[in-house]
Amino acid sequence: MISSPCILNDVTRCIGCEECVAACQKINQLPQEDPPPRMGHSEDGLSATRWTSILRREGGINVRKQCRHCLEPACVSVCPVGALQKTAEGPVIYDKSICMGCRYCMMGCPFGIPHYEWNSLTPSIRKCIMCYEKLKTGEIKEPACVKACPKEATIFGSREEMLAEARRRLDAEPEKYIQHIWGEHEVGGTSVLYISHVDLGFLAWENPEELGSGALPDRTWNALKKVPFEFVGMGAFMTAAWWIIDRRMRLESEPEVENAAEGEVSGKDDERGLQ
Amino acid sequence: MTRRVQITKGILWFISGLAAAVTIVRFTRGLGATTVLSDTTPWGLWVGFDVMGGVALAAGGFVIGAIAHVFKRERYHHAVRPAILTALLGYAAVAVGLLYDLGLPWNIWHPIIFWNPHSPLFEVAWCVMLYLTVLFLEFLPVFLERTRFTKLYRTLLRLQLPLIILGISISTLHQSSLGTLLLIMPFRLHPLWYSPHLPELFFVSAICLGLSMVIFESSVTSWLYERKPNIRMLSGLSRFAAGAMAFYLGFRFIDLAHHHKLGLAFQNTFEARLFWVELATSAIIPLILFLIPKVRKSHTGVFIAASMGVVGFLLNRVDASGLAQVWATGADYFPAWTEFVVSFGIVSFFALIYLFIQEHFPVEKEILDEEAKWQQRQLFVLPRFDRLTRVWLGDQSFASRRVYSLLFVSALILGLTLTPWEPLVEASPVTRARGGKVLRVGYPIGTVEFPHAEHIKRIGEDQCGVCHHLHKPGDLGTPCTECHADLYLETQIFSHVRHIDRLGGNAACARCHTPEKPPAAASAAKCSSCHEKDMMAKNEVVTSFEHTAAPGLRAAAHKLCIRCHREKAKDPELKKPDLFRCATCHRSPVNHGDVILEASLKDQESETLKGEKDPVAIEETPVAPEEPPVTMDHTLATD
Amino acid sequence: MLEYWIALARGPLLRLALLAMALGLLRLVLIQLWEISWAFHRAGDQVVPWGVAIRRNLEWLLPWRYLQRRERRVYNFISFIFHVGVIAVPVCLAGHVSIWRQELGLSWWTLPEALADWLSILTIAAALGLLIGRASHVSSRRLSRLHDWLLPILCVIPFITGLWVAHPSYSPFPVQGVYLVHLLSAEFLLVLVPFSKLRHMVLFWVSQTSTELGWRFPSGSGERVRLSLGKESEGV
Repeated sequence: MISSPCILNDVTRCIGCEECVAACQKINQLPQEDPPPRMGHSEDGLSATRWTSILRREGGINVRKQCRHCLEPACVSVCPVGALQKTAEGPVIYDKSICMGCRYCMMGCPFGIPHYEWNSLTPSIRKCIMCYEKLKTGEIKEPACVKACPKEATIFGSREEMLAEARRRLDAEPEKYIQHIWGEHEVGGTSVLYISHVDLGFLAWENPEELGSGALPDRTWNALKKVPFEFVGMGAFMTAAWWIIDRRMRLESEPEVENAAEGEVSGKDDERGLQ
Repeated sequence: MTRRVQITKGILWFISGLAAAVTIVRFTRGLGATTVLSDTTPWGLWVGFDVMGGVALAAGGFVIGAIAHVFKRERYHHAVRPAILTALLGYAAVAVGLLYDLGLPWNIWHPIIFWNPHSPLFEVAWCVMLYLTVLFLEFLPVFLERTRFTKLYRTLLRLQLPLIILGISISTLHQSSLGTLLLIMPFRLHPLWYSPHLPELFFVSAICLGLSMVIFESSVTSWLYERKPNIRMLSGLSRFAAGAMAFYLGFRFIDLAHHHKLGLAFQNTFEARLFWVELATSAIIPLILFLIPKVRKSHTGVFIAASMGVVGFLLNRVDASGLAQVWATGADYFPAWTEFVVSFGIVSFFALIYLFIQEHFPVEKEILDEEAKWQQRQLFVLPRFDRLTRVWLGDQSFASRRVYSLLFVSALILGLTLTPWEPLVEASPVTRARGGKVLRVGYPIGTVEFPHAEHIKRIGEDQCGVCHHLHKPGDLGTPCTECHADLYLETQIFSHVRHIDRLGGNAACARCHTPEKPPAAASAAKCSSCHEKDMMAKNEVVTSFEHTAAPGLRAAAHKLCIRCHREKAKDPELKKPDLFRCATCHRSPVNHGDVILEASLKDQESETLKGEKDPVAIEETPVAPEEPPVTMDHTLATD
Repeated sequence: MLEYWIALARGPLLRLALLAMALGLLRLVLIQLWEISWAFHRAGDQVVPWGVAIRRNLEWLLPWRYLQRRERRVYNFISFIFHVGVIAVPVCLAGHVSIWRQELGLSWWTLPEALADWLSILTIAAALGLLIGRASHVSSRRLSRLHDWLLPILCVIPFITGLWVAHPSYSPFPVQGVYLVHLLSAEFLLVLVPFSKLRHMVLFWVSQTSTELGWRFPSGSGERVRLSLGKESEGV
């Protein structure tokens, strides 16, 4: 398969026919019928059985939502066991046999993509995997959703090609598009890009300005990389504090230590043992 | 064992029983049935309270360890063992809580072999595992103190200081890493809580919470066992707590000011109010209370301030992991009662273990000695009898065990009855009609053919809500009696409202009701006084009727229709469908007094109700105009 | 309205009652086993005549030996009939089995309808007989407590109402109300089982086993009696 596969969505072309949704459900063997929604289900139509959905906005605007396959995915970075993996090629995939079901990935994803099988006794995280297995074996040449699209509103290629194509379209019809490629820089760049004639801030959780263009995993790693030093530092500080205090107390009351130690049984043994 | 301990234990057993019931449902029906977690709120009370709060609550272990052993403050030695026990049980409770919360709990050990050092949760998992081991080793001497393993006991005591320092280092890591957990979600966490310094803030607040918890717990145990509280120790600890709280407050406000977020706290938003409530209960009020020397010296004062601190800092954890994210997700998550029950149940269960260890091992020697004396005394107490059955309850410990087990079992039964076994779905979702053609109705319960299409035709295409929204959320189906109130009962066929309309409003009362008698159905004029034709058809079966009532569907079909149909069905010329066969309507064995009418669904599939009136049709329009060749006495209820 | 109550009584309340009975009885058995083992542990003489204990239990459980007893023959016979009816009808009635099938997914042999009716009538009569027997015998009347009188009456209510539900034409009251009373009284009885002497349905073996096992004083109990009486100076 090609390296750094990428999907480009052109919002101006999408007619909202949901052929992509049906194709996705078919290739991933998802049930065609949705179970009754839980309270607090995602408003965007994504669920454990719908890995891509069409968001509809006023004025016939249809935006396809799916996993963005970030270049530096937050979900992969937060998974404590590495059940979510960024493959060498690019798609973010999931291995249920490793997962322990902590759902941190769902909290960490800025786009609210991973969904959970709440009613299952052995629930998995479900999300778009960009048809990774089938692309890799060469069974299909492009993801099912892209293939199903009748209007070429969603196209597939390497990330460089797609960025070039997006720029070409933006340049060709500058008055039609907003001059921005969503996914080029957001959260460190994503492998699903959008060009549009409306603002697409609604694809992420409500706070786009906090999101920035920096990769999210950096934020935790900045804190985590200090961990070994904290560990050693705290240990050294405590040992030093103990040594100084212990020494000072002994110097202050050399004869009294012996008497006091006799009085209590449990608390003192350790100290004397270490002296 | 004092009366207080007995009552407390009873309550704890009851809550544990409820939790046991929910546990059964949790592990047989999944997270869907027992929580209201959803894709927008994947972490709920079990993470916010049990994990985030639980770890912070157990911080007392390392804080007291540091104060007493590293900084050598002798007077706090008494607090070390209870604090370490609390920490040990607290962390065990966190692990148990995780078993409930994890979707695949049997994989809980996976962080041991599958590594992802980039994940804060991975770090927390390792720290919790290591720290549990360390705590166990720190506490093991208590178990060994009065046994013959003296050699091991002495070795462990020698190792105590290194173990405590190791424990402090590990605690520093994971207490702060719980804050790191939230660093990756700037898009979810409200700016008043989100800060690059979350790890440090979490560490400091854990110290505050740990100290508050030690004070709280020490007060509670001395109240429970009716001992004099060690005021000197408590007021000393509250000094430390005050220091930590002041530092925390300063840190938090400077951090907010530095990131220019202080203004957010003075807007009129839910988050701003939450922020102030949290800060007031966690740090501001307890700090003020602790600073007053009089309060510090009174047991009640210290207790109140410490419990406020405990509640406040727990609220901080719950806020950070849930409430302060609502503004982004817009999902109004409020934990289901089953989630509360599990959370409190785990706490109760571990509180019982705590009390058990206190009473059987030298954690606080006074309690142990008291307990031993009490046990001795019980041998000479007069026997007690059960009030109801007059049975000897056994000696005191047996009697209390009987009471506890009764409370536990009652709670278990209650919980199993109340816990929903089906996944919780959004209330009244309008999807396609449920139930299909066969409905369960009536008593003793049976099934009846339900013509759904016919109903839609009668009440209209867009009138789904007429039936489907009559019932409460999570219903099985709207019973027929919601509309056909007369299914089993006689019906009022006299429409008062319609008569008033036709006859011209209030002025028309006198047409039927005579002024001297109170207006009632019994005293009103008979229908026949206005309606010329006799309202009652001549009927050989039913001879008399209340003038405003008609028989219900069941009575009509059983008492009026069947008999006639049975006779007509014998006539080969009429070719009447045999309505009299019970199985025409009832799709399951009908217990009908003297006979059981077996009519399996399978048989009935061949004998469909083609061309035959459905039960509803009988009730609503007994006249059957589409069957002209047969003359029948269908003149029962003319309008 | 009544419909709603019936639905409640058939669903959650029935489940509650069955659970209460099953778990309550389980608790009693566990406590009993534990206390017996504890008492045994404390006893001085630790030899258990298992054979005798089992034989005694069987003798009392199987009716023929019981029915051969000389005293109060009629009463014993009535009691036997009563027990057969009280067990067979609720468990094996066709209508009930269909409930078990719906709620538990289990089904078993059902009583023929006519037999069930006659057995119910017999049970009601037997309960009456038990009450008369209790009243007519002086010593058993003296020994009886309030609930000894109430329990047979309570047991009979579901039978009477059950008959009316099965044959609505004989019922003097509207069937719906009778059905509700039938359900509620039966459920009340089920809940009552672990808390009343009805618990003998699982604890019957205890009295016989205890007779064989129980009369052993714990080691050192003589000493304790002496202490309690304040006669430390005297010999045991």
